[in-house]
Amino acid sequence: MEYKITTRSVEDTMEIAQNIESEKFPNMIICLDGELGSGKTVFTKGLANALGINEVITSPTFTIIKEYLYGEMPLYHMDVYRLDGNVDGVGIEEYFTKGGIVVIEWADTIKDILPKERLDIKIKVLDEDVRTLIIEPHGKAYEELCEVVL
Amino acid sequence: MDTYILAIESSCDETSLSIIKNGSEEISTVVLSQMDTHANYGGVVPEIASRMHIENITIVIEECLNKANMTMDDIDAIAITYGPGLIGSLLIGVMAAKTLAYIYNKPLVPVHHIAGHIYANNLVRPMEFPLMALVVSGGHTELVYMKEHYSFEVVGTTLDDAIGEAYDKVARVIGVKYPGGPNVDKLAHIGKDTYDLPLPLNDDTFNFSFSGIKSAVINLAHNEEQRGNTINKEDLACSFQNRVVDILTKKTMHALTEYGVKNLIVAGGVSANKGLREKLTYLCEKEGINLTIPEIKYCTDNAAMIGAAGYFAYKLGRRADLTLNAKATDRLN
Amino acid sequence: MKYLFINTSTKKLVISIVVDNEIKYDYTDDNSSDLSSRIMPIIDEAFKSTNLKPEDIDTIFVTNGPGSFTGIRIGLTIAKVMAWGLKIKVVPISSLELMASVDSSKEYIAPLIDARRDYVFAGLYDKNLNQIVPDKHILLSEFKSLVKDKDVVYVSHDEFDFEVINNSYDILKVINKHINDEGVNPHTLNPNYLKLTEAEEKLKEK
Repeated sequence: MEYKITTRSVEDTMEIAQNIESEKFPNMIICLDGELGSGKTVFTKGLANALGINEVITSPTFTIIKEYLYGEMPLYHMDVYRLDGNVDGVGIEEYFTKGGIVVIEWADTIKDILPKERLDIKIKVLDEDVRTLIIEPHGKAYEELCEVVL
Repeated sequence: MDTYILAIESSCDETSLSIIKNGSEEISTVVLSQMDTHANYGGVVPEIASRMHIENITIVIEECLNKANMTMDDIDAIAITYGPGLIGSLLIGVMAAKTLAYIYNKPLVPVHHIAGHIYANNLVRPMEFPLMALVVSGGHTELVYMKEHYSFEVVGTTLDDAIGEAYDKVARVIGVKYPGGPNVDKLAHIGKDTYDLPLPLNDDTFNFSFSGIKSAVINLAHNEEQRGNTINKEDLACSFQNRVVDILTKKTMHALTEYGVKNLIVAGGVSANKGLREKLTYLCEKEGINLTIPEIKYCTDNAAMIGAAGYFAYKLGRRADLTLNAKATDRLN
Repeated sequence: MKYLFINTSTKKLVISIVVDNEIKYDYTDDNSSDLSSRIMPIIDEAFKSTNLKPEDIDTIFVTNGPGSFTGIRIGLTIAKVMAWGLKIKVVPISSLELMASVDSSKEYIAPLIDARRDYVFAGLYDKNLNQIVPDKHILLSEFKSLVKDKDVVYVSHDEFDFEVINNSYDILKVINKHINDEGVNPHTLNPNYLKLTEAEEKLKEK
């Protein structure tokens, strides 16, 4: 099962993220893929906003993982691009069971350590503002989530 | 009574220990840098960093105590960087600090890495309040207002990339070797400001944005390449640096006025940037602002700054217990 | 003699205090999450409940891998600092050997740790913990053909598509095997990852 959604603005993309947030559960894993500037961080900002996190979501590239612990649920925001597949010793897997929401940008590059149950979102750039979000749930919890909010 | 803090810092690619007296006097510091190793890979490889930290940790502890001619009995408390940073790297320092605190029965004081960078200034001269801190590093770009010790109010932050990250990406695009930031800074001093780049997030807020100028540099390099033109590295570095230094200093001076603050301190690895130092020194002299920038050795990651911050945290009664964990949270406290 | 045993390299966390030939404190669990937060309080509890202090320990036995890189480093950092600070003898133990200490009726024991991408960390031991095939990072299929003619039981905490046993370790057996080992200098007590980092491997290929 795969959902295709077209967004026409930054606000549209944020709204999708907010809708997904409304069905959040602990250890929810969201994998984001899409070229630079496609809106992966915009999506994460939308999610964080809905979680009531008032800190500014900034790029996690430097430290790979950033934790936001002061929302309705912890948010773990990762950008694994810089790892180039070298996942050893970063402790990414530990975050899958910490009880928060995990958002992984460039998740494609660390495929073999991702949990089987997760939500994959691929963002395709159509033109300056228009994006296609290809949302693919893996596992029952994520299928149900998609049925409810998409 | 004098207070001696043993501080440990291992958040990225430096294993560092320091003993600091009363939050201001450096007794001994050891910094074991892994920079040469990571240079082979064009950047810090987290797993290699963790491996080197564990290989060096007890050697560095011993060397630091020997250099100070002290033993653990002379130490009042252990200060440790718990975050943010590379989790695997932080973890070695955190586990070592917890074990030391446990076997010697010493208080354990958790220190935020950025608080450390800010308190590096207290090793230069006692910090005077209220003050504004401009924090510029690989992971951070923030303006922090402090009305007294250990009170941090973030009044502005980057909305996307940190300044150091922008430098690294630009360095990669124009083909400058790791470490990118210092090398771009060097080139900038040779080149001329000839390229037309936008001034990033030039508004009335104290927030920053560097992803736009980063993209502009990438696009410019690509376009020139497609046209068969070679870019002038020195000139592009100079144009980029001028733009980011302009916006950093403009917003900093604006924040000083807005908050009625006469003391400015600069913190973090990018405070070693010559362009930034020169411009801030010039502006602060002109505006009668009391400017402190730490020596280069205190700008990069080191445990001395953690010891300075740790002293004030210790005096405020901040303690961590044996469950202390490495954290990747930015929230400064 | 008083011994502290630390294992954080495998998915079975072990903290034990052994006095002479008797286990005075034994903590084991199969929960490898949040190890860095949980481990020091467990060690503290071990000392408290045995009325001992860290400086009373004569030898620290610690597994130094292979296994989870982060896990190895957590236990080893504690052992390094404790041994260095209190001048305690420290003896590294292979985590695969610890796994091979399980009780079994077979002649040989092959501990396996999943290392992803069809690789395992594996070794072959006899019942007296003598190493028959050295610990290595190896393709599972290759390792299996290496031991296929032997009367062997596989021990693992991971799931495979063949039978493995997941029994408790025999700490005393391991300690007794290494009781006369020379200690190592804490400064040179380091993990035995059995595997270069991927970045190092890529650099080597170039």
